[in-house]
Amino acid sequence: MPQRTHSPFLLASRPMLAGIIAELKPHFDYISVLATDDRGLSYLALPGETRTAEPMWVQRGFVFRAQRGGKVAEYACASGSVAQATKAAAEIRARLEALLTDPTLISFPQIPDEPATSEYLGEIEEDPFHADPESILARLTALREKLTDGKVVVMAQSRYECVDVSRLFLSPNRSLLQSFLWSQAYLFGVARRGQMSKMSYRPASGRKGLEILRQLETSVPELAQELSDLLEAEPMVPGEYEVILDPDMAGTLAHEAFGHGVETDMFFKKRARAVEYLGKRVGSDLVTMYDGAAGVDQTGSYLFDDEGVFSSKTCVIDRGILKGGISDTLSALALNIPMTGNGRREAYSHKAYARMTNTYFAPGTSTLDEMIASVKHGWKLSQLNSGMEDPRNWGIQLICMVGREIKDGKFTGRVASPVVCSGYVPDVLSAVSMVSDDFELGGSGACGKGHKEYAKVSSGGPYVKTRMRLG
Amino acid sequence: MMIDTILEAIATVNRQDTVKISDWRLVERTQERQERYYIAAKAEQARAVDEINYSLTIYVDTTTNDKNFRGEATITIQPTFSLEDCIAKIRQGVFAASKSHNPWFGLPDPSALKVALPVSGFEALSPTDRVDVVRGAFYSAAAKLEGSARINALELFITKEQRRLINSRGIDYFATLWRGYSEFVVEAEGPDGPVELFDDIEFSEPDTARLAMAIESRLAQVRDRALAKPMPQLEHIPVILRGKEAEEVFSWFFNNSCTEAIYSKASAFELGKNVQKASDDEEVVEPLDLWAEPVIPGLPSSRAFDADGFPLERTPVIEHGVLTTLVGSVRHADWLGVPRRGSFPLFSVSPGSMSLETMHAAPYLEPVMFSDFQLDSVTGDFGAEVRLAYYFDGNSVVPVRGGSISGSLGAMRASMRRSSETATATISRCPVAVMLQGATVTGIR
Repeated sequence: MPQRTHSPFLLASRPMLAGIIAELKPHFDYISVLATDDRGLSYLALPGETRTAEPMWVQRGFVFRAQRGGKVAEYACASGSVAQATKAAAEIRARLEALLTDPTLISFPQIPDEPATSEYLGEIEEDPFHADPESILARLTALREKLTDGKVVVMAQSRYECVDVSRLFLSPNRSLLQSFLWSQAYLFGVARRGQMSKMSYRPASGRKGLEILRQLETSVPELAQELSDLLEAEPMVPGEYEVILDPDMAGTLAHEAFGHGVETDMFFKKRARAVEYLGKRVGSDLVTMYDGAAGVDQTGSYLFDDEGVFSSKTCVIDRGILKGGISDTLSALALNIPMTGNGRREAYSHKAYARMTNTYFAPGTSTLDEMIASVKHGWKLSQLNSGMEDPRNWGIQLICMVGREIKDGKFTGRVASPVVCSGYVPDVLSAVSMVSDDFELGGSGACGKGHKEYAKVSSGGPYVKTRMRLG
Repeated sequence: MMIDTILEAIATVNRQDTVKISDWRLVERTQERQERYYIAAKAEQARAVDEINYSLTIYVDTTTNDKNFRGEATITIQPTFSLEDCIAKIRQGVFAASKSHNPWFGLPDPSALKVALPVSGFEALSPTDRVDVVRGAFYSAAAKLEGSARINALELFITKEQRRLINSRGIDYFATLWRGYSEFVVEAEGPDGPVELFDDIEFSEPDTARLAMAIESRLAQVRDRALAKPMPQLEHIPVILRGKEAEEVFSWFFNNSCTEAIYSKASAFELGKNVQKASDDEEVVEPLDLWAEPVIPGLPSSRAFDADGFPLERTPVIEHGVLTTLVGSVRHADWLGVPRRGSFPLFSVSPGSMSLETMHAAPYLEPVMFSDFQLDSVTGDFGAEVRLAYYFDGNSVVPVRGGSISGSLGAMRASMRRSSETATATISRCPVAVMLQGATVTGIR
């Protein structure tokens, strides 16, 4: 497969940025710069129109981080503000020094600057930047037209987006460069009967190019049937049930239940109950969970994070025992714990936080058929709508669009939509009784910190059987 | 100046190339931002951000069988681009635009703006004072409750944006926009350990009273959450949604009244029809009036012109439950054959006839904090886990936690009641509460 290439802008900027770092070094205990040049494409096919634009992730700029006397400040600027090294260094120094006068700033241990030089170039099959826009729009239009029958499915839309990520990290002792492309695509459909509307979708994603559209093209018949079924959906009868979560739902359970809960900036703020449970049981023996930009290849994968720390793979839960957290640099320093390479920014202009990357349950040994056959009365849940964490009090919320009833090991044909799943996280994980031998990661969504700071992540793993409250 | 370089690049492409740019729109956004990240009362780090963005939309017209089409592509021009870089990027945009063939529509022509944005009080403050005034409002309010509930963490962002929109028809609009944003986590000790609540607020003024009130109410609620009991299983109980969740209910009506949603068939609303009922035989308990608003004092999304450069003015959208005017992008208005009104950032809703006191006179469940309230803009289905609610059984009000609510607004819109009290929310001025009948309440005991 053809390799990506590094951003010419970053390659051209590297000597100037190295010059700025050299000029600033004597004035601070620590200094670094992250330079980004992420370009992208976005194609959208709607009823009666198509649109070509660029995704929200497109960015080009620099963020300088300085530490003095333990205090930390950052100054972020658009690339156009930094044209000449010596002049820019003086301006950047003035901005950073003004910020460091804030008397409320906390002191952190010295940020390390271990020597390292490394580069990474991703690979894809079909390069969207070399494709004819007309052919992409034609594929998307064909997808939505195939799904729209005008009787049940009254509206459909399809979207393809890609981002060509290029990041350069420089400090006095580190020079890191990475470039890779990720893509995501969706096919949405709306079914309607009278005034009642129901919606569902199929996603595709990966550190891939246009080849992800093939996945959507094969999903149309199943999605059309699902939309038809949803028009017959009933409200969920409230209660606690056996549930089989599809890999997307299960991955989001992992993400919300113990992904956010082990972000170590939450430990630092004393917002995470998980810190009291390190080394203790939080789930059944069947629960093993990982997070890592290394080890798997999906939209959350990279060589180094936005603080210049190499990626890793963290075992969060090992056979039911909570093992450790995922860290950004400052919380790792404050808590004296390992840096895991999870310091991520929405863009150069945003702060780095401890963030997830690819979060998933490890596969088990059961088959999906065995899991379905084992259910006395429960629901198979799929088509995630949203999830939310509660790291302090360990509540969990997952909302999905499709619940299919199972009685005595067989589907009854009843469908519920939407389904709100909730519970107390240790209860839900302790009730995990079967885990399938499948393994599937999906990276078509984005993860927020609070209600902002969106980062590209993936989640997934196997099908998981547990018990949850449904409403 | 970068804008001059971009205009020169457009002219060069049109002079040298066979495929011409028929029209264009350019938006320059310059932002200066101060950011603070507090843990308790100390700052984890201080940040300052200077950003500048150029977004250029290119329109290319074609004619097939005497029918006019208009393709478009939006591209980002980086401030570091040279003239040659701009020309190359614009050529990519022209190529992409020439490959999409949408029905033709015209860009807005120059005209006088119909409303003016109020000058923000932040304008008169230094960058440091802006941070200090807002921080002071939050922490002074919290200090009054020290010991029983407190701020765990607070993030603060104050952005000044200067936005210029120009187009090939001669429009040249400029606006100074202020956006303050804070998200905060408050906590309290309970018998089973500490509990927390999360909230956020947007503001365009250093309105210390509004900021203090936002955090005071959450501090009071987190004390209640510390003492809350598990939510019981409840049937046939009215659910009262407050604040942002009430606003989401009204947003569903607003969003489904937009030209784009109607044109794409994502909305089932029809012009001239009552949108508060699913069938003719339903009786609407309290007819709704809704206006599209360009400006609501204190809200950062206030705008005098929309993304196309169309001047905005207050417009009635739903009158007595009937959809009377479609608002939204000018292209979809043209394609639907309705008058252009523009795409509005804000809306307002008429007060209801029921006071909060009356709503609270009979048994109810009133969730005031969810994990993440979700209301699907297409289906009207909603649901969320409850982090704190107040339950009145007819005798006493008790705080409850856990469980969830769900339902479909499509089935509840005819019977919903609005409070007579209104307040400024995030994108609207609307009733502070809405009472829904028929929601599914899933308790945990």
